Amino acid sequence: MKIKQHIKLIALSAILLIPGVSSAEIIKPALEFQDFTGDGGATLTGTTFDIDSTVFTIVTDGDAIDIDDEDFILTSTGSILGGTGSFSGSFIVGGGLLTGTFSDLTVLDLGGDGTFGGDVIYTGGSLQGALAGGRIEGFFSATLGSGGKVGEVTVVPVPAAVWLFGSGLLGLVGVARRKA
Amino acid sequence: MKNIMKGFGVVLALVASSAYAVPTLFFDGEISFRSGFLNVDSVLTATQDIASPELIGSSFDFTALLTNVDATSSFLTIGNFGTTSVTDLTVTDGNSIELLTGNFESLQMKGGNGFGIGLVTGVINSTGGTLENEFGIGNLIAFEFNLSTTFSAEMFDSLFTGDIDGRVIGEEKINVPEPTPLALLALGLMLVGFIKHSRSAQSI
Repeated sequence: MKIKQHIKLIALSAILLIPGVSSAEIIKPALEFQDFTGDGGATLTGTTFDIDSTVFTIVTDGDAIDIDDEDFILTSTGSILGGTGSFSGSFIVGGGLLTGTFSDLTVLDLGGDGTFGGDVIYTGGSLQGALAGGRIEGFFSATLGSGGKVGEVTVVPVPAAVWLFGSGLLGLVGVARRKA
Repeated sequence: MKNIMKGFGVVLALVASSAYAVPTLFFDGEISFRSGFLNVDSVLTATQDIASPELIGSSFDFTALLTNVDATSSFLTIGNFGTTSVTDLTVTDGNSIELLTGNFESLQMKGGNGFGIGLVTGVINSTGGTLENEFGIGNLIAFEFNLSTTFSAEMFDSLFTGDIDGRVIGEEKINVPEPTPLALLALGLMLVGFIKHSRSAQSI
């Protein structure tokens, strides 16, 4: 009876844990934006975080696909305390490529420069259909401008074999304990 | 007449302003840290204000040696890097033409503790390549993301990898003078024409 229970437990574990999920991250292809001459760059105040930059390429694995330069405008409001802030707002990529919103953009002020990142929801544009969910990450500097990437969110599956191996080990332990 | 002179002055001031060129190399690739060495293996994704090199097949690689870790702040961790015994930065285009080589005067990698995203900033002394004179002492800025670790005082104790995306900016803005004499000539001719027109109108 106990062996049957162990087998059931192993099967249940495998069903529940496959495919496993570890974390979200920027994957390629992704739109890349950076400040070019004439762009306003990033502006961080206590209550606003804005970016005026340029989208110029789609980065793929090992290569970059050049596209026509388009404006990248991000506007947001929020608050920052002790170097960490949370902002909500929207962004638009010119040329009708992409628009999106975000409600929890984490901005880290590392001392006049820093990084930002958060999940976004695409709301329009010719690239919207290809991207169901999204993420934006990048950097800003008071003196050297801003840059970053807008890409699709993915979940990184933990190989099923790892979970099978683990649940199998649990089963062996159970059998061994029963015999003992 | 005063209004005309004022307008002339404003137009002259606008026309006489100079444009700027900022030589920039944009790169994107992978970053890894192992045994004290920070290595970046990336490609050029775009350029600005330089003669366009062949981007396909290009490489933008650099390496730096960890000198110390500043973890005095509970909020952020800073890794300070210095030059290596070989050329730190090598940039080549898709035709294997060496665009830029250089060594780091300084390089800093920092991020908020607990986050897998960070900032890399540095100063590069150009030592060679076809763009050496255009970059001189350049500034590097990039962000690293998808890190296999998070920022902490112990992050440099073991290997980590990730992606990097950034740019190197030329030393200083180069003035590109507008053809001011031509603008002045055009404005002068307009002024003469206006005066002549006014006088002929008065004589009638």
